[in-house]
Amino acid sequence: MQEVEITIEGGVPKVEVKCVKGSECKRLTRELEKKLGEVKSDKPTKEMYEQTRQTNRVGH
Amino acid sequence: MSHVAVIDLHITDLDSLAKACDRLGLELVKGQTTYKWYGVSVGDYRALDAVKAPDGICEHAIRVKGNPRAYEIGLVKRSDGKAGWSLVWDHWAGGHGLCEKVMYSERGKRQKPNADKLKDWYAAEVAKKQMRRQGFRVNAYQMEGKVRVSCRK
Repeated sequence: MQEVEITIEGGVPKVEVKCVKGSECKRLTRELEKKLGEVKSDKPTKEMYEQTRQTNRVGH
Repeated sequence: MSHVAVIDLHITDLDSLAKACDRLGLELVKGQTTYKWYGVSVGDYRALDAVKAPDGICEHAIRVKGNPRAYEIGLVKRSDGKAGWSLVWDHWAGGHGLCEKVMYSERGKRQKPNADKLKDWYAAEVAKKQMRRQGFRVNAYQMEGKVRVSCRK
C-alpha cells in the first residue's frame, strides 16, 4: 500500500510519503508539490536511514 | 525510501480556492476587481508578498456568504513576479465577520491577523484534486489548528 499524508498548518503544507521504495517515492509527489508551490526543504525520513543501515550490515 | 517535503504555498488554482471558500462559508467571486474594506488606509497592515496596488483594487475577491456588512478579501498579484495571488484584506474590527471565517479561533490568545484556515483548506483542496487524479483514496479532515489529507492506494 502507498501512503501520502499532507498536513497543512499555518498555510504551510508538509507532504510525507510512507511505504514507497526507491525513486517512485519522489515521483509520486512531484506533481503535487509543484501545484502547491515551491519546495522549501525535502528530507528523507528515519525509515530511509534504517533501510540504509540494514543494507550496510548485509554488505559487511 | 520515504521523504518529507515542506512547501512554500502559492495560490494559483482558483477552482480549489473556490472549494475551500465554500467549505468555510465564503464565496470566491472571479473577476470582482474591488474588495470591501474600511476605505482609508492608516498604514498598519499590508500583505508582505502583495504588489503595491491601490487599496481596494484586486483581480478577484472573496466575500462572506450571508453577511453583506463583512469586509472582503482581495486577490492581488504577487510582488515577486511568480504566478498566483496574495490575499489582502482589512482585519479592523475582525473585518465585521470576515476574520472568524478565515482564522482559527484560539480562545484567550491574541493572534496576528492571518488567513491560515483558508490557506490550509486551499492547500487541502489542491492535494485532494491531485492525489485523486493519481488514483488515491483521499480523506481530508480538520484537526486543531491544522488540516490533514490522508491518501492511500
